[in-house]
Amino acid sequence: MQFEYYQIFQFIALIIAVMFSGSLKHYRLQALVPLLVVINITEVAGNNYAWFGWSGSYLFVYNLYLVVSTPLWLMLFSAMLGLRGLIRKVFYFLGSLIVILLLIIFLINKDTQDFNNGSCILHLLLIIGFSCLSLFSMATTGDVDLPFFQHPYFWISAGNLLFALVTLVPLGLQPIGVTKNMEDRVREVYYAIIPTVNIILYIGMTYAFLLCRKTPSSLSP
Amino acid sequence: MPEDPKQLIPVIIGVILVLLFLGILFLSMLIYIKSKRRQMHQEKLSLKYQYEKQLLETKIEIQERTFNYISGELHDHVGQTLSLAKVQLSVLEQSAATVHPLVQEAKKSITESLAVLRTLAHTLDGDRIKTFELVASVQEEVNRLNRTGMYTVTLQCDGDLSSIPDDHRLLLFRVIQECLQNVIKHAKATAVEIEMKRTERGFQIIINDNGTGFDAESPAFAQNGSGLNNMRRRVQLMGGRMSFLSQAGAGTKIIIDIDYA
Repeated sequence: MQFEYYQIFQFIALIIAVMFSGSLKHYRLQALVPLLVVINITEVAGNNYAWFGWSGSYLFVYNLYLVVSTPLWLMLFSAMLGLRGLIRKVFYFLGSLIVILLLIIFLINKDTQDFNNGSCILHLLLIIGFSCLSLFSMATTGDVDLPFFQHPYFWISAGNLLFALVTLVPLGLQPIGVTKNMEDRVREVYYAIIPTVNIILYIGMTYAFLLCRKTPSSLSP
Repeated sequence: MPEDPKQLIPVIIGVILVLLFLGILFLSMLIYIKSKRRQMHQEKLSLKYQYEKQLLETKIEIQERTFNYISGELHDHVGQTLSLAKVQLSVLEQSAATVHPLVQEAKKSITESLAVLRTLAHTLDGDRIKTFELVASVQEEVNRLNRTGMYTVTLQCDGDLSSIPDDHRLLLFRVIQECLQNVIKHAKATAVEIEMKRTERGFQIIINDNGTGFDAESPAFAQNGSGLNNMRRRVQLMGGRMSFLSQAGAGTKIIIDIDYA
């Protein structure tokens, strides 16, 4: 079996999330536990696709991840934004349409060996948009006494924002075959970006889970 | 899009860097907005505190002037009139061949009234409390309550309390007076213990009664406990803390802590 070093950080984040799952509920972050389970399973399956003896391309696992994880991300952002009433209904209606769209793209391209870059770009744009909204909401309407860096939402949203911004272009352009034709030295730099932002994201998440031990005074972000 | 991937790579890396820069810029902007909001909120709180402090100081000043006026009136006019009545009764006693037994009783009543009046005038006189010791003033108040025969009030002092500033001395005395008033008016207590002691950081006053008590967490207390909140604000004005430990039917313990360290 093969493991990438950034998977250690994903696994640590999952362990901490499970350990503090009770505290995560106080901050309405419980969707992160199944999400991290999905992420860890996807990475293990994707990196060891051939080892498991599955036929086809390992990219199938990542295509499936985009469909499965998007509802969990939407649930997480809905909770972080503190959506209520009609806005919440509209959010879930539009979210359902996006998930259906992702599912259709997945089913159409199921037999091809390609990465669904369109789905990936849509997924990352959603994360960028909602992370920005969550951070903006925190800055303008959140608990004024709580410093930004002591709020778990900051580390989750900022980590996600930077991760999605940095990986948008490399992952979006993956099927064009850019990576296959690159010089070795440049490709090393290119592939270094993805694990680095992964590490930053999951360290941020782990720190956010540790911050969740404090009971929140108010929860509008 | 350039056909040669070698040309495309710097563009991709450039775009990544630009996006990363924009992300960091956005985060920095939000951090700035949040810190500005926090700063403004703190300034607002500080202004509100200053305003409340000034308002409370003005209220206390007005109250003290009123008390001083009443004290002066009691001492100078009512006291003088009673003294005159006592002298007149003495003259009547000496001049008359036979003295009615009620004259003696009336003289005794006037003497008692004068004593009560003098104590009351003293406790209302803020200038006197500022110049005299806090403990002596509280002891006078305790004696006044004990004389009624309805309450058993004890005062216990531990350590040197003479270093309390003059303006704090008066405020503290008024808070203790208000506590005792509450015991009489609401608590239906028969025994009150007052403990004043020096602590490492300042000093502490504990007032304990055996009255009906109240539920300090109840909404009714939050709505009607304006007297207690007033006392708490006065203590806060001195930079202290006031806490209530009470349960319905189990008496009340009021703890005042003032730090000077």
